[in-house]
Amino acid sequence: MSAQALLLQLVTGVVVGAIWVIVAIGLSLIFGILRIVNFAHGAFYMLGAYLAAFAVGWTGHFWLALLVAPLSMAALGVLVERGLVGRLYGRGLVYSVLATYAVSLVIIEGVKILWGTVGPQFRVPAELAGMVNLGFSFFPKYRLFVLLATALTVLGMWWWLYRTPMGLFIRAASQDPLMTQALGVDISRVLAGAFGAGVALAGLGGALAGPLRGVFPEMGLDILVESFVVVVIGGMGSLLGAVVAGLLVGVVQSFTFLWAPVFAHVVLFLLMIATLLVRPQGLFGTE
Amino acid sequence: MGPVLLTERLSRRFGSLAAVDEVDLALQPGEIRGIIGPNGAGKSTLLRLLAGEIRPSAGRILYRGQDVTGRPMYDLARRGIVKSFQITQVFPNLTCLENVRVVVQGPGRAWNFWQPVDLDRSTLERAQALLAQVGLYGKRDLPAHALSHGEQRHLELAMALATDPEVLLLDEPTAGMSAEEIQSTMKLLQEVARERTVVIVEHKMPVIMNLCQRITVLHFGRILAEGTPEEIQASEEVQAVYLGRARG
Amino acid sequence: MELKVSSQPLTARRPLEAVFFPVALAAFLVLLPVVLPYEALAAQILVYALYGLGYNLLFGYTGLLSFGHAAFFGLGSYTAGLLARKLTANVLWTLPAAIGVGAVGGAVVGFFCLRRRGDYFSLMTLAFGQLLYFIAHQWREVTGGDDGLRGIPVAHVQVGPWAYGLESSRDVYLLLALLTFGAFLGFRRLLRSPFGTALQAIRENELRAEAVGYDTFRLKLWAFVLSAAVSSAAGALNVYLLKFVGLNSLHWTTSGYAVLITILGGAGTLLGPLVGALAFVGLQDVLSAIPAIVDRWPFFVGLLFIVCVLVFPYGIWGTVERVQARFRKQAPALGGSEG
Repeated sequence: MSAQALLLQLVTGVVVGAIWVIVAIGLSLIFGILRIVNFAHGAFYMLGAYLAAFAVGWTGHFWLALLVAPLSMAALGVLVERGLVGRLYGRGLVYSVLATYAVSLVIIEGVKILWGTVGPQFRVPAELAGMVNLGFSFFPKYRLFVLLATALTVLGMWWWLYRTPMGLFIRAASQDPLMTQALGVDISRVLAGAFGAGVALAGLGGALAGPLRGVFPEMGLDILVESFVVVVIGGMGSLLGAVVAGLLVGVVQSFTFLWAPVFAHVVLFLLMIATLLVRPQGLFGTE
Repeated sequence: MGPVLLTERLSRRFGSLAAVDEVDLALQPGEIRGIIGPNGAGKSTLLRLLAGEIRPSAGRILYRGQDVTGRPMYDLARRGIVKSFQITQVFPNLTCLENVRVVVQGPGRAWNFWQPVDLDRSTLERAQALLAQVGLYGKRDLPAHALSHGEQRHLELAMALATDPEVLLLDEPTAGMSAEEIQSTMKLLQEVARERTVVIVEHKMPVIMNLCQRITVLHFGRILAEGTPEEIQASEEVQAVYLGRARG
Repeated sequence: MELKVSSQPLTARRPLEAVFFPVALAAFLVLLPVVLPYEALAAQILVYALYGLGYNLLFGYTGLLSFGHAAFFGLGSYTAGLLARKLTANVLWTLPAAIGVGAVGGAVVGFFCLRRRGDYFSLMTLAFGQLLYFIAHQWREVTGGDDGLRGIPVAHVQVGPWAYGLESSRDVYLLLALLTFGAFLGFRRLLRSPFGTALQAIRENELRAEAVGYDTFRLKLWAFVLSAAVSSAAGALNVYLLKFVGLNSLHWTTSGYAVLITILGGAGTLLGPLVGALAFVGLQDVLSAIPAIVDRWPFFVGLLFIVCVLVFPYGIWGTVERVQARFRKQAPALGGSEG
């Protein structure tokens, strides 16, 4: 196997991983703050892709679409948290999981009702089409863009969590919700904000992935479970964990596709099970 | 007959903090031992170690001469060491009677898949008797979550007794109770302690001083002093560390 | 575990109910295919009721939220289907085989998953479920991959020379009704047994259960195995009905159906899964007949589920039982054993 081919496989894996990173950060954020496993995460991913596709279709501006998707998901996320998820905190985690699962059903089927079972076209924007010569191989420009977008998102999230007051409240709330409340922070806002931010990331991931994988109602089902894998391996509630694990798992799967394609999907879940058995808090988890 | 429960240099570390530090404890059968100490002295941790809830970092625990170090909680419970918890742990949605009955039934019967429990009269009657002993017979058909805090602690006590333990470990049995509840609980504990070895962790001095025959004082995980209630009350060391400047 | 469970005093002597229950259940099973427009619908309800029954043992009674139960449903389906294609379509062989495979699967999966608690437990069950899904997906030679298992011969019940073919839905329903009757009665017994009450104690407070001497790991494992076995049986019965095994039977969305049915009906109640299956399948049938809705019925089920979670956490049957309990309020009586 030539070095170029290996390198190509590596970069491909990193790009796949990049989408997972974005989605996983969102999932990890929600788990870290609200302590719920968000089964609706995939549905928000899908909605983000849909809205981005529509935005591009109507306005022709891809950059606008990249803004519309996460922002509208954030708004919807806040609504869902205030209207449903937030009412279940006292009841125990089981109900939150069930509620997000139900939301997922409603969103996916709702999309099918509104727009049918075939999703909209989502083409790679002209500015980002075509190939780039990386030296060892030609590589789609759009995929490199996805990498760049991911890097920016990760930086942005880091800055938001560690350099802004809201981020501080969020981190404080995940450590000690009672104390944070006692300090005068409106905890319900923090929780809503965290959920909104989390699903905004899912939506962004969907918007970025749309041109790569196509847009269709069930596109979120697989990513949901895949992002669970990443978050478990990286560690629930860890930003660094989501990044490292996302890229790692992407690369591992990419090489598995190359050498043992039969196991390409199976390897993900074997890794997840292994992590849960050996080190359940993941690579960087704190619990 | 030697001590019923013996620990040798029992220790438990959490990171660099030694919550329990080389404790040598010897409990004689039938004794009522109190364990006191300032907050963070390691009292609850010691109790959890004795019950098998957590494992020691070092040291040994011997029960009736046998080494039971590191054995899981359910194993120790079957051998006769049972603990009640600082935060009440009952079965909230089950009736009081069922709470006790499921304990009386015992883990040995757990592999019976077919006999309806309401046909097992002896278990039922024993459960009812235990409820009566703690004064909860009248509330037997109420779900446990409907009970007041003090009543729930009595229920817990009934459950602990249902295992017919030889050593009963009580973690702050009067926590959160009103004055009357404390009185009734103390009477109950006096009765209960007659046939057993009891270890009580408590903050309320009157409870400890009146109930216990011997008291162990912990400080920073180590035994500071041990003796009769009078000896402990008179000890200047203990006063300085625990009872504070003000007496009593 | 803060699952909303309606609890009944187990030890209340209700001799009338002991007779009433089997009679009522039998009556229901006889009337169901009569009341419903077609037998296949009734049969499908019972399949899901059994699936839910198995699931409820683990979820409603032991307090363990599994998101991978489709694995056992699917295992049962594929076992029955493959056996029928390769060896024999005799139910007396395929059904026990499916149950056996399910039980073994449950033992293996449970052994690993039960090492963790709470969310980690649930995530591991999800991982195992997906693992099985993708294995089946890849192993096309055996499972048919995406296309599923087709050409499954009609199941029959054969003892020696005497054989009864389960050709029509009515035949399958007959078998299902008998098995459902037995299963529900058996579970009623199980849940009132020392084992069953121990499981509920674990659900209520595992720490306390362990503190009084119960080996909670072993008990949970047994619950897992039983739960898997019953769900696998449901999977096999589904094959007798549909004569087809789809890959989707292993997907986590099928696991989700088990959760839905159980919560809708009422977790921690015996009849909950039956009521839940009735509601679920019934809704599906009614809604898909409406031209505007057709295949979009899960939307409404999802909405109903949200309402349920918010307003009726005890589920349909659970709420009924709670209302019943209010009317039957036991007065605290001193003296005399109430039994």
